[in-house]
Amino acid sequence: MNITRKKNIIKTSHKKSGNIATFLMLSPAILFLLVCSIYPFLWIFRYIASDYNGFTANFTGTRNLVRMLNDSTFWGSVLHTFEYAFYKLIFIIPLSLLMAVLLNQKIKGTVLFRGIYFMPTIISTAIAGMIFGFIFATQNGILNSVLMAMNIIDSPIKWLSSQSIVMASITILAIWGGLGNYMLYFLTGINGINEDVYESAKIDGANAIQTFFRVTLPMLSPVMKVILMLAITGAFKDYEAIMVLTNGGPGNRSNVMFLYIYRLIFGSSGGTSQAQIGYGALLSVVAALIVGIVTAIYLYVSRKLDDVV
Amino acid sequence: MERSQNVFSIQTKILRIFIWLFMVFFAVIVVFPVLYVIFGSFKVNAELLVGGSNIFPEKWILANYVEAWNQANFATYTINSLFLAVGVMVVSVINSTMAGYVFSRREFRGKELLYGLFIMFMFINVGSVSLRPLFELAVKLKINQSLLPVIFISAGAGQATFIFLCRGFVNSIPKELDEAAKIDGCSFFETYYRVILPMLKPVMATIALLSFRQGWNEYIMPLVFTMTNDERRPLTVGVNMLKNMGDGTAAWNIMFAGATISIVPMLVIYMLFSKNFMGGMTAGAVKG
Amino acid sequence: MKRKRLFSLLLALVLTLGLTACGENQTSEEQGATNQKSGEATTEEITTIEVWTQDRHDSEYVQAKIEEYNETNTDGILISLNVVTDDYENMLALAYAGGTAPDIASTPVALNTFADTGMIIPLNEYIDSDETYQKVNAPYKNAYEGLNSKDGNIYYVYSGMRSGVRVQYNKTLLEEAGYTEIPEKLEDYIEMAKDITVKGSGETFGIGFTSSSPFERLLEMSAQVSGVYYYDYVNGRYDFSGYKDILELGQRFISEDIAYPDQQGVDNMRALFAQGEFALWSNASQEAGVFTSQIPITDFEWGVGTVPSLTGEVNGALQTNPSKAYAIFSSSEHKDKAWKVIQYFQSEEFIKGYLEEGYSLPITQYMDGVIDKTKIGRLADFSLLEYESVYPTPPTVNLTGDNYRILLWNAVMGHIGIDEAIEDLNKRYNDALDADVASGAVKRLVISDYDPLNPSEGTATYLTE
Repeated sequence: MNITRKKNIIKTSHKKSGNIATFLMLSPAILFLLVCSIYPFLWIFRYIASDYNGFTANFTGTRNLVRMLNDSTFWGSVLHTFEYAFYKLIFIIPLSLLMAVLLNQKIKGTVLFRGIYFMPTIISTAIAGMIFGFIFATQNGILNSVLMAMNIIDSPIKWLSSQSIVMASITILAIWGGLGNYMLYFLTGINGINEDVYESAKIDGANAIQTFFRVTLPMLSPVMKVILMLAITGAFKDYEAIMVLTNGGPGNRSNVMFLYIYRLIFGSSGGTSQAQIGYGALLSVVAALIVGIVTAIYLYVSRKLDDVV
Repeated sequence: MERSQNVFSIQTKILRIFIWLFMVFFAVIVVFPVLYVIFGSFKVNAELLVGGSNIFPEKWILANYVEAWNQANFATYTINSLFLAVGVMVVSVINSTMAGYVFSRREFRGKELLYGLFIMFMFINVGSVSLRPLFELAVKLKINQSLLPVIFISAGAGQATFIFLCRGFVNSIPKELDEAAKIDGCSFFETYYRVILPMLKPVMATIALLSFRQGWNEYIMPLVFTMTNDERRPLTVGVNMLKNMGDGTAAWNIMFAGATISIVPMLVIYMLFSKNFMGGMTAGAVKG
Repeated sequence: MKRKRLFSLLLALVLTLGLTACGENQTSEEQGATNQKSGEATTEEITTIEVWTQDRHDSEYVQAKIEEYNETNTDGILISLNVVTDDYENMLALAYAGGTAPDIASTPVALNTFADTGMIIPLNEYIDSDETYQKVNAPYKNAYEGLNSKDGNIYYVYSGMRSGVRVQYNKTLLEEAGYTEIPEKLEDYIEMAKDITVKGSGETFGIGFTSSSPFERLLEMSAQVSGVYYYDYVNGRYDFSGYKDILELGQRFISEDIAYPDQQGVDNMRALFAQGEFALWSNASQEAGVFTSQIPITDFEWGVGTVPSLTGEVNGALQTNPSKAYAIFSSSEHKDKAWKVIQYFQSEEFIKGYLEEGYSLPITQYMDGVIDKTKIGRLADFSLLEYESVYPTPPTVNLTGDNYRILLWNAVMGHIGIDEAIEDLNKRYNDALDADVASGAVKRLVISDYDPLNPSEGTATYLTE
């Protein structure tokens, strides 16, 4: 009797202080959301029906909407974004998962390897862009020199100036820059798996590959969902590295959504056109919607898969 | 039995060697561009700009580093960068673990809506335009000349990813632990502090590392907030200012030297935290 | 436990740094406040005039002269220079919005954004009362409609200029292919480049282009001297059809594999030129300094020539870029003292020393006569030609899609058909212009007596439809 009453009292007092604690613990995040995300968004949002060049704003009604619907450059960039995201994800997820698993083994030098694989993420985009510009150069580029020296190709490949190859080049740069990141996520996820599970797998006589597919992968599944979602949204938002490497070229072949929006909002030098923050704001909203829809589809599909598997 | 074990281990040995070779090969490919930066920082500007396959300089110019250090006021900039990065790290870790915990363990009205908002703003990317309203806000609050607002904005803008991660991880921690803690008399917050947090070590280390890097690499925000205040500039801004604009050529070799110097602290932090990625969860936490 | 200690250590570090930052912030804030709004508040009546510039390449000279001024001037003025190389105009706008704008902006800013909104003030009153200033700087002669003056209001006066585009060439490579000078006709120019490339057999090429605004550096200027411009001043609309011939010729550089296969950043291409990878490069007078001191050319002799035109004859002016101008912000609390600083920056002594260091070309006849030409090194090769001038600024429009420089270069590269590109540009630009004029955002510029060889001497009228 007494114990139950005590428990009940603890429960209610827990609930009350719990509520206060909940609120307090969540408040910084909410504050950040309001100030850093919602406020700037609303500030920009009010210009979507105007022409705003950073200094003066002119209300233009639905003209921005009409422009957007007729803007072939924009819709082309949307297509390219999907293309880029697809290529990037297809390679980087399995690769970083593989590396994470390998690095988790007790092989000599894993600490050094981990450091090396992580290094690309430290280099700033501007500098990485220049280096890869050197690597991908047609005439005196490093990649071409190596490939020709190994007799894999006869004549230099136009990595950056050919419309059919440029997507491969930016994908390579993306993988190089992002591998360390996703490897880190996967490593964390793998280390979250209870070691007992591995023990029982070993007792059951599973070899490395079986362990991976029957034990690691399923146990990673919740974490994997998270990582995939981050990867998808990340890939859709990538633009800085592309901007430095190809600036959307050649002929807008590698133009992705957010690169086009960036140019609109900051204006391109010369050429008598100016920054168009209003139109850029509208496009940002559209781009966000697109990413949102993709994410929603992904979440839906992954939930369905959960039910099946 | 002995025989099969022997055969097995030779197979494993060969496999392990192959794996090791693969990792070395891959590491060489990955690290090559980084090496290019480091070697390039010793080159004369004209030699660096040509590019090509020679990563080794013809002449090693140490003056690049001297000039980068002096001209770029490196000591001050490094301290500022550290301040910024550590600030972002601390704020991010505390904020995201708390929020992730609440989202995972608590039900309240509008929770999914609120969470949806967080996720939504994760990919609503207005980019650097958001600087303008935030800068004006900071001016009104009279804090526009320091890096403090940059810390909060950087942590605040990137919080969604980390909250997302934390929620996922806390979800995977069995609720029985919470119950056990409650029975032992822990409040909601104490459960967080004593029980959940220690189990979040791997993800905390990840967030710490990533948020440190985020703060370390911030460029445009500190640029704006330290417009006229050279004393507060971090490395990213300082190094970039070495570019000669207008009618000249940019001093890429000095920028490379600056970039190389900037890599060192990041690597140190990474080494510091990487131990935590290996620490698995203690077995039997629930049973015991 | 170790982790906890590390954590608390870091926390302590952050807090200490934070406190020191806050503390120091206070003092720098105070100092900032005194600096910005000083004048009467300090003991010695020192006024600090803040100047922002985008130029770093001349900072050695400028800083030295500033120090000299700070020590010797009798007006109690202290000049403080801030170099902002990235995003110059945006930073200025941000500073103005935040109330921390400088007193003087050195380096021209766009009038439609800075003058029309009242951020900078007209300088006519100051100019009219200073005869020496007028003699040295010829402000009314060098007032270009839409560029630095509007409706008779002069917002800033230029004291230097960058020449129009010139061809820089590798004399050795040219001689090896049998050439000694730059042809005047574009077609001959292309043939020459081709010969050099053929002779180079894969090692060296005839010409190189950069990825950074390539159209502007050669073909657009060839078009200008052939009398082709993208804005039709007589009728007040955009017209790109004149570029057709130039584009067809320009395409040959790419389709016949004449050009160096990579188009990298400007600095990279300069370095490759200095190494002798290709024979022809084109850019303006800043190359004098670049190839002398920054990326020195030591392996061969390099020459400077004029940009070729379609027919070999000059039918239009070549665009030059005036520079080194100073504007006063309306938010400045010491406009008179700021003007004194400007008088110093644009005094004969200052400009003479500046020009003789080879940083820029003189913009007035007076200064041209005063300076010692032997000191300016290769810059002498870039001296003003008689057909160089400044084109009036066409109205700025809100454009959807790529601007003309990107699109026309895409046409040269073969990614889009020439006729298609021209038609697309005409449509988009004029649609935007019509819409913007209709909404009142901009006015249509018409110069009925426009003469391509003297573009800035016509009478400009602004229409509202």
